[in-house]
Amino acid sequence: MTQETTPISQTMQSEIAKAVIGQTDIIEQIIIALIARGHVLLEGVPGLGKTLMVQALAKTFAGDFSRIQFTPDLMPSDVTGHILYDMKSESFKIRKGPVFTNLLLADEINRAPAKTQAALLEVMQEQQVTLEGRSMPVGNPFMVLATRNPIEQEGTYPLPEAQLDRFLFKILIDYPQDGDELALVQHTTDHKAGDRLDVSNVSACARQDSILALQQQAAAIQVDEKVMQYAVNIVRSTRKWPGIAIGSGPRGGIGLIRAARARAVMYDRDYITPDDIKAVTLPVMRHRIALSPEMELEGMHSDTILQNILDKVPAPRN
Amino acid sequence: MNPEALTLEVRPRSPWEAMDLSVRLCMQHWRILLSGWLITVLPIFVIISLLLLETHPYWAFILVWYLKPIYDRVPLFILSRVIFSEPLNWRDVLKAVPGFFKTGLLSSLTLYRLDMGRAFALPTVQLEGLCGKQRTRRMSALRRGAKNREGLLFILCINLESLLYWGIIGMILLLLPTDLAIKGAELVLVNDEQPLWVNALSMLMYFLAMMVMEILYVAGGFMLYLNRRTILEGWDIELTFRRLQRKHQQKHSRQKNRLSAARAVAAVILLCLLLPLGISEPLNAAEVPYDDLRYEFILLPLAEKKTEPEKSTEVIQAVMQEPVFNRYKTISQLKYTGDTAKQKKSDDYSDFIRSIAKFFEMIGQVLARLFEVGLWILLLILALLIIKYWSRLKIAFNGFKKTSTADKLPETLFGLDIREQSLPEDVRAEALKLIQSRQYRAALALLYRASLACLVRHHALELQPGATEGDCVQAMQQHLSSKQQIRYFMELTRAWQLTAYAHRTLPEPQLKKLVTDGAVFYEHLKPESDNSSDESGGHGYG
Repeated sequence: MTQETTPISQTMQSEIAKAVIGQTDIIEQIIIALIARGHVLLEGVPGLGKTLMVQALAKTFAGDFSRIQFTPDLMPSDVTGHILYDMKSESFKIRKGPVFTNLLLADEINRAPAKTQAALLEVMQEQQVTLEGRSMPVGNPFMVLATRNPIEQEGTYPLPEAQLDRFLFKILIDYPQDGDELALVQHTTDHKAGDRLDVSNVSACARQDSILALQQQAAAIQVDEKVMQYAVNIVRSTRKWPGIAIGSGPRGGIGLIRAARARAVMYDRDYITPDDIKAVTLPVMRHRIALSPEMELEGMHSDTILQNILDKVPAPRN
Repeated sequence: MNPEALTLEVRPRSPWEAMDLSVRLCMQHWRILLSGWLITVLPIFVIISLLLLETHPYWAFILVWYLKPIYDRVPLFILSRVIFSEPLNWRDVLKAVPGFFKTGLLSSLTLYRLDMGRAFALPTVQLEGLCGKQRTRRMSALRRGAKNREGLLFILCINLESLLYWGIIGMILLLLPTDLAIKGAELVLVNDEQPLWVNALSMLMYFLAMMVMEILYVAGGFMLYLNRRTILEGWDIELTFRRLQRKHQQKHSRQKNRLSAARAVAAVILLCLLLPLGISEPLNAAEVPYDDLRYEFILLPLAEKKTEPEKSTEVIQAVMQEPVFNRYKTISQLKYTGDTAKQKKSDDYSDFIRSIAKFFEMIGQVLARLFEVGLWILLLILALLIIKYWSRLKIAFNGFKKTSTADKLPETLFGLDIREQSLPEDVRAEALKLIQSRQYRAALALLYRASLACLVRHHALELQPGATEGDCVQAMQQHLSSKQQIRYFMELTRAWQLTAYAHRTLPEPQLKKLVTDGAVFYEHLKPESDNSSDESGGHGYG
């Protein structure tokens, strides 16, 4: 169903699309996550433009952008920051880590040990960092975009379920379509030396406060009881569905409603419909369920199971 | 039948060995077996599929299965020829087809249709041409005191056929991408009403599985039959005797030749010697030894034996006169002649045993009665269960009966009643009435419900239970070509969503416009049959 989008989100989408060719659904989902004040886990093979996408997004609202390349020897203090003793002033000074930003790209998050991954937990949940007993808020808006490579599993530390649950969306990035890939190669190689990421043509189209306003607008959207029940039904179905060993917790339902509200804002509506819930179910739920070993052995993907659930759970008609 | 012409080694075999031999035989002659089967059976399969598969898929399957006794005759005809090394091609098979319908076809399709030893009995009907009492007598003779394992062969083949059928389907599903495989499995296993292509594919798989297994089954039965006749009629012994006879004849003829040559030389010499004396004596022809006469009878083919009973009697009498059958030997042995006292005691024991036997007999009778009562109780419980779960059983059996198009359509969709009876005769007039009485939500609900009913009932739009409003619009866009209809349905959906989820309604003029525009929508969707029903006062949509 085609619907009109708000100028801000539409402009942001088109600005990002200047740097990232194709992947329109992914861009839309990232903007939805931003409006819903959620964090995103991007999963895809290297070279699909994950970093470029995040850089372009940061540039659209003139926000700060930091990147942490997760490695096995990365320490929690490298993420959050630490206290230094300054010899000159003979006092302790706080050196803020890269998390004090608006957009944080945690590249290859599964390469760091669990201790370092856990350092992100507080920031993601509370949007603040505690250093030496002092709580310091991070930037606002704040969003973590973590990337994960699904093919190289050697020397990696799988993300704990508790941390996976902190991400609002898990977005799968696939290879671009034929036409998009051609345009991408042309765009990247045309009068350009090297393969440096280029977001120079992306212009800031929103201020930080306009993003915050969008977030407030999304939070104020009314939700019909039947629609909320529909979201809950979907989540509850994952707990007893054959082929799913561990279903989603209540945070799944909360995520569905938050993301559906943000989507409604994107499409300039002040109410959400079952379509909104359905549209965000896969990115919201795919990392919150664990398939049974038989399904894993058969190479079944959680998306297939979720799609079955969506087909079978009755949609409300009020 | 001449056992000597058989290409198989004739010897008594165990039933398992005979079945093994049948598999080897099929492997050796698979080309003619498969081509013969395809030429004769494939047309029947195609005709049944064309006639019944679309309308009555279950009956098509049942009919293909039911006619198996007819198909069995093809491989048996081929096998009965190839084991004698007779040259055979598909034209010969085609020519033989009318002959298949001559003997026992009706009984094999009725009385003996569920006979597990069908393949074992088939040669007596098809090759020996026996039917009725003759067939029964023959079969009881063949089966008497033998463990032919024909029932096990049947069970084995029917299981292998199922395995092969599901195996082929499973293999196809495994080769498909996961999404398609899940949908395919749902179509094959879960859905009650399968599309035509799924039925056609299933039928084809069944035909392929049946083709392989029926040939093996018939070959197995035929080999068991041959094996049984080998044992009963002593074909191996007969063949041995024939070989002996041949060997003996050859030896005899060589001796005769040698003798003739020697005699010729001697005759010349004697002639030379005796010629002057004028003496000449005639030579007698060589006599056939008496033993050869006996062999001659034994080795005569069965048919020949039957045609000359008198000669048989004479020869048997002659044989019985042989010294070998007239040897008498006196054997002495001790035998208890009896002591009356002990006999009485023995009688007492017998009485005791008899009383025990009687006691056990009584217990047996009681147990039998209890068992009978138990069986009746079980039957009663079964009957009660059937009555209790009749509705579920009816659903299970529904697959076997034809469902009309109207029956296939759902009565409710997303909890909305979409039966024609549930809608007013004039939907638009009713909606307008509701708008005028300021029941906007009810009016929109009615329009939306009626539009869904139209799409589902008259345009066979298939919607999943989880389909949202957006999914319905998308499905409609793919299903219908009229832009007007699509635009109207989208507007209606948007208005409905606003009312249902935002709890706001469109202004009254816009609602009235929706009702007016609905005329185009419903008129376009209304089929001709509906127009006629409207004229006759039936239910319409507006």
